Amino acid sequence: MAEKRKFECLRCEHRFTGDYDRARVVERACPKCGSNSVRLEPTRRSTTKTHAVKGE
Amino acid sequence: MDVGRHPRIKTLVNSEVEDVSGFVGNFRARIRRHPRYVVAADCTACDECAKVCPISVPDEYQQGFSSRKAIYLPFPQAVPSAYVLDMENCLGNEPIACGKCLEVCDKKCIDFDDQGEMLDVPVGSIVVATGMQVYDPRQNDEYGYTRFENVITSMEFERLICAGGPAAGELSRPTDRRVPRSIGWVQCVGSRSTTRGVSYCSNVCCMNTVKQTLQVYEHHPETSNTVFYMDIRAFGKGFEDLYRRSRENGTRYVRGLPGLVQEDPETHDLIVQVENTTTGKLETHRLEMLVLAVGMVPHRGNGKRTVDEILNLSHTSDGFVMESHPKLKPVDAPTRGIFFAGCVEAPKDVKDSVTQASAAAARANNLLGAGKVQVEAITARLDTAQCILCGLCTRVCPVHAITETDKKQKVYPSIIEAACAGCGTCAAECPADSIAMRHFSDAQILAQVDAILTDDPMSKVVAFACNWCSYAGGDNAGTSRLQHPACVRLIRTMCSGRVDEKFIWHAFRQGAPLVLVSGCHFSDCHYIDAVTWTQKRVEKVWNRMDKLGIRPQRLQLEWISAAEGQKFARVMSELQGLLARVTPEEVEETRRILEKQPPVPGRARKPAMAAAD
Repeated sequence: MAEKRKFECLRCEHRFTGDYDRARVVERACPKCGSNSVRLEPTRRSTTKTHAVKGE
Repeated sequence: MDVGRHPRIKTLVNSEVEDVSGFVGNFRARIRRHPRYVVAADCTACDECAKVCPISVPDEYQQGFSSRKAIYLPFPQAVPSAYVLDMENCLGNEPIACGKCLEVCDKKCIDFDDQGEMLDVPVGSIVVATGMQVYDPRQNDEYGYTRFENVITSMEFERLICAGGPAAGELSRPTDRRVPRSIGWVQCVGSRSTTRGVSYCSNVCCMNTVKQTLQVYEHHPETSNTVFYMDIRAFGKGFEDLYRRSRENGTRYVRGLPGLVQEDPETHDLIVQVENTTTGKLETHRLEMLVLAVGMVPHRGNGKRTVDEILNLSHTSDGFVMESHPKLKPVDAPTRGIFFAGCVEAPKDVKDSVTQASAAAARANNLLGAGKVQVEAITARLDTAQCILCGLCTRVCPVHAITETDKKQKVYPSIIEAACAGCGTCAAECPADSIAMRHFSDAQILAQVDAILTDDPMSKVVAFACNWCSYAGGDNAGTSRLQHPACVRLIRTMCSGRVDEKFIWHAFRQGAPLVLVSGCHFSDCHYIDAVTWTQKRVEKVWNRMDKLGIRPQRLQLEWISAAEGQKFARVMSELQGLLARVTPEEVEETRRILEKQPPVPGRARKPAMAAAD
């Protein structure tokens, strides 16, 4: 059963909502830059850390 | 017919393959023979049984234009030439019900007690030729199929005009059984559409329509023919000549597909509105019959399990099975010993199907004629001493080359080398490092990572590229003389599924600022679905990086096919941009974090078998 989940592109940092089905692995691509480095955003953001990036 | 008479070919009709196990040279097929209720060897096809049968149902072979009895010969050239009983429609053999066929059969070959049987057949190789289905045009309601009787499909028209058809080749339209004075054909019904039907060209419809217009001209030269089309694809030998003949015979080709079809309620003629894109004008055509040139869609079998499931076949995005290599192994399945013939692989005409079937037969014959199978040099091997009986290897193996594990009974998995395709997904997934690869071993890959990062690691991107697609995509970029940054260092693996988590972590430990994992697109994976495990694994590493305080952006994932040289060059340029954002301090911090972690963070330490490589 597909559900709406948030994804993050690790190439252009674009965030978007898309279908996610735990039982079916599908090829993902960022709608903005076309990269396949698309990560399903963790549901519990508290477990993740913030990272300093050069130039920010 | 030749096949039916051949002494060394055994045909199992009315049968269904339920399961296939084993590997190249040693397959075992479980086949269910459905009951025929007629002993085929004794039946002489005398037709006496059908004459007395009181049941009439639509004849599927004649597309429902005529009827057949409950006991019938499927079609005149059926092999074997024997009757079959349709038990769903038969009244049965109870004396009070019917049993008339039983009474008149001199040969006594009708057997109402036939239960069918299960057959276990050992086979060395398998040719999959399950064909295709035609598109159901009811989805394109604007054409009025099933609403208007005189709108028929190209398959139905084929039966109407065929000498062996219900009207013995005397063409007539369904509503009034008279010869139509005007016929229209609508091309690409269900094909080449991104909204309804399928996006690919069904290959045969154009020439089938051209042939049908010529047939109509031969039978009834006074009938006017009009073809509505997007573009005519007459690319085969002699096809352009046929197309020219069709036009010379008076068939009018209108470039444009009808937007609306209506019926005159009195005459049942069809009023077709179409924009002629050549003239740019809206035209209205009054036709007595309209034929929809329906496309082909993949056929997955009628049983409980599809042929994909039974034989573990992968398929392309259009739904047809995927060959091992489109140029070098066009009739081979990714699983050795399995071959394709006909429309199961892609839409094709009879000539191409016969060509492919001949190739598949030759490939199978080569395999069986050799008497022995030369296994791949790149295979997996298992060290049971380290195996923790988790069964993960069996689950991830795309070619089912690893036998089942039983933790309770302490049954270790074993690798069938003849079936192993050497993708390395099992070795990458094994949490106990109990599986090693022959070639592309852990030690070899880790040594390449070390070599890349020995000198000036901050200027390098460590990229793992699969042999079949991404690495070939790099070759394509090179041979096309495409400019791309030189910062990326490729490490070739047979499949991206081979990229173990520990390779990625090792690269970061050694000071890699950026790592790329690259493989085939999901629909191109040469190891069926091994690429899906790559995505899951990379996802896992991203999450772990996040938890450890390492930016997940430093691990990139990309699917690049062998034809995508431009994409390869573009991705490499983008990686150079990402590389510039990684500082030496960040890399040093990553190394410091990973020093406190096991080789694969989040996984308990296990003695590495790879050390012995």
